[in-house]
Amino acid sequence: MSQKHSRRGLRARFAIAVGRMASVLLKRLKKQASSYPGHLAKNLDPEILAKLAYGQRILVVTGTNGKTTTCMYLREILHARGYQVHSNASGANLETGLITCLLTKGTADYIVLEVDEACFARTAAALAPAAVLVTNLFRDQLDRYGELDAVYRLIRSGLEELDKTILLLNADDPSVSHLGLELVSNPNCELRYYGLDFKQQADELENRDDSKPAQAAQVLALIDRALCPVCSTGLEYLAKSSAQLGLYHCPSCSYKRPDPDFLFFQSEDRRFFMRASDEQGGSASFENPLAGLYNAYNLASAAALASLCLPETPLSLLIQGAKGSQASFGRQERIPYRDGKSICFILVKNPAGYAESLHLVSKAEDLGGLAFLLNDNYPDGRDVSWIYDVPFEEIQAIEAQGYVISGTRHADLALRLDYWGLDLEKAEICEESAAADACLRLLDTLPANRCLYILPNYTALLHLRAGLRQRLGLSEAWVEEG
Amino acid sequence: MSKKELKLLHLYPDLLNLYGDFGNILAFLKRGKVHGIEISYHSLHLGEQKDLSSYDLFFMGGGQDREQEALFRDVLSRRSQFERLLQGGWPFLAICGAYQLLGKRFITAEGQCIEGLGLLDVDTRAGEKRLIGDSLYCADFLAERGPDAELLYGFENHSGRSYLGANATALAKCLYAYGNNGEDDYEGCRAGNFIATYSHGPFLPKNPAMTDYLLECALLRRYEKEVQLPYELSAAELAARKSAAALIERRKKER
Repeated sequence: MSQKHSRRGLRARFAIAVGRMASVLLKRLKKQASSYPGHLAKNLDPEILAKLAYGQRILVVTGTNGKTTTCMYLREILHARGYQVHSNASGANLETGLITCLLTKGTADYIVLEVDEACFARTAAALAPAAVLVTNLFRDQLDRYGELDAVYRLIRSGLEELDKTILLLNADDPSVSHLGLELVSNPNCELRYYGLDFKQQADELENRDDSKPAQAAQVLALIDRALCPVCSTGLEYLAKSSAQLGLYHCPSCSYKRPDPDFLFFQSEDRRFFMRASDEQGGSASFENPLAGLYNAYNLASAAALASLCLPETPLSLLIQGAKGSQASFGRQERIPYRDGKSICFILVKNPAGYAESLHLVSKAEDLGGLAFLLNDNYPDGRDVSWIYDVPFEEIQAIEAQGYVISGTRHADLALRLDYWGLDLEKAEICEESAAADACLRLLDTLPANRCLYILPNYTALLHLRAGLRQRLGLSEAWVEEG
Repeated sequence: MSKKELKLLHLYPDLLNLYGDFGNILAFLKRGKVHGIEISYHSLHLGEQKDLSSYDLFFMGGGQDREQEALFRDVLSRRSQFERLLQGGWPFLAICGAYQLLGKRFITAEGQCIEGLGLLDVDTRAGEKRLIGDSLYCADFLAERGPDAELLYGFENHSGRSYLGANATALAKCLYAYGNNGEDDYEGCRAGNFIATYSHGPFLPKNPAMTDYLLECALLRRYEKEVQLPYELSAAELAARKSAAALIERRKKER
């Protein structure tokens, strides 16, 4: 980082003071304070981010899915080792959110930041992170970012700005690992990979498709075929974990999945195993507090990053730190209801995440009801075409007792689900304002100990969660932090 | 009526697959089922040799730039086959990138001219601002199929500006849309039974009249007998169209 940021001038100090004051005020007024203070400070000093970041040990997590949960794991792990950690836990991951986090929370041993993948290019140089983790690159809200290639280029240009950093990449995602190939010649970049141990994971992956896929599912598999990032030939897979993630190689050029430095797998009962390939880091076995293969990816990447920061500490010790991990806002977040019944929110924002959530729900033994919510407010993306990219057809059947279909675009969603073959006779299709009541009605018809799974996108989650909170008289502790 | 069969060919599904193109395939399969038509799905990949005229119905979507370059030569090498499809009355739905490829030329932001298939009398120029939004068009040739059948609902997302030449017919008039270029209020292009549009993603699911039209063209060509598919909509289709209409009203107010 350049010398000019080492000392904060009058301008920066003024900007920080104003930002902090705004934060205190907003919090006292019980308003959201996770971005606006940063916005103010940036207006007063355009270079405030670099100045705040100077001298801090910053760990950045970026990519399409898993940012929030991975940061949560990472916080837990580092915290358990006795380090003080600050983080933008409220998920405000654009530049103003990052500034707000840094200016309101002050210094710490580590600052763990989730950074929006499109915003990464603009902020990487200013943050000068000690390490960067790229989780995956899926299609997401295309009307905001343009195309996936554009997001890839943004992340790459951000990485090219960096001086000295550890770069941890998901080996199983062909476009993420391609970043490594392109940056391998950068001597300032220490490259590491994590990936699924496909040999060990084989049993569970086989259980995913127990019967011959329907015609539509076959079509889908074809459309979703990942292409070689080097030569655009269709990649071949020896095994797949989800979407384009897997053990791939290109049949026409030499491109293949890199050998991971950290390997992991997770059994159905959330038993998580991980080892470092160099044997020095050792291995670990652990019960992951969160279900689903995607959370195994999240935990593995967090533990790998922690291990790279703390090479002296055995992996097993690091992983133990994650035992108190709890679901982040709307990510498998459970709310108890009466008679042992419960509500479980799973935020779904893009096809890959939706598919993983559907797999999880289809296997849930306590599945009682299922609610689908789709909004098209600005933060969700105005274009809802992506619901046709969600591979519902990969899943033969979900047998819930009843359904709720809601959100500002409930009719589009109902048509998509009708195409899939969902029995709309068993569904209450309603406006967003009626969703909370519809969910409670469905809950009341469920037998004891059953769960109503709710799959909303972003603003649908915010609204429904608030609506249910109000109706159930739940305490403020349940409100999102920040 | 004996069981009818149609062979649907999806061109380059792994290269051209942006924005929910899968919805259009699903719509063909679904409407086919409703009308008692057995539709089999087939795909064509880069470099694969296939006699296109042995299929009845075609779909080609849009892709990312990198991927469109990769298939450019492949498409041009099949030009005579495409021309035969157009002359012979085969129905063909082309969306976004595929629409541009069917046109005469594409002029890039740097002024470079890329030749297209030239099957549609259309020129496309790169534009700066992306034209994005919910859209509504009116396609008169669909009007007689049923109430409001001529109204096409879509979502646009393109930066290319297409201009129809003297020999081209627009697919529809814009009622609330940017359409081809944001200037002349025309959307898409129609030549023979080729339908080209910028409305991506779930274009057919929300416009069953369009789906039926393409299926009828395919049946007529293959069985050489006029067929009239009844315009009966499912509850979900009706609701989706009603809500699309309401959405456009909402967007008008927001603007």
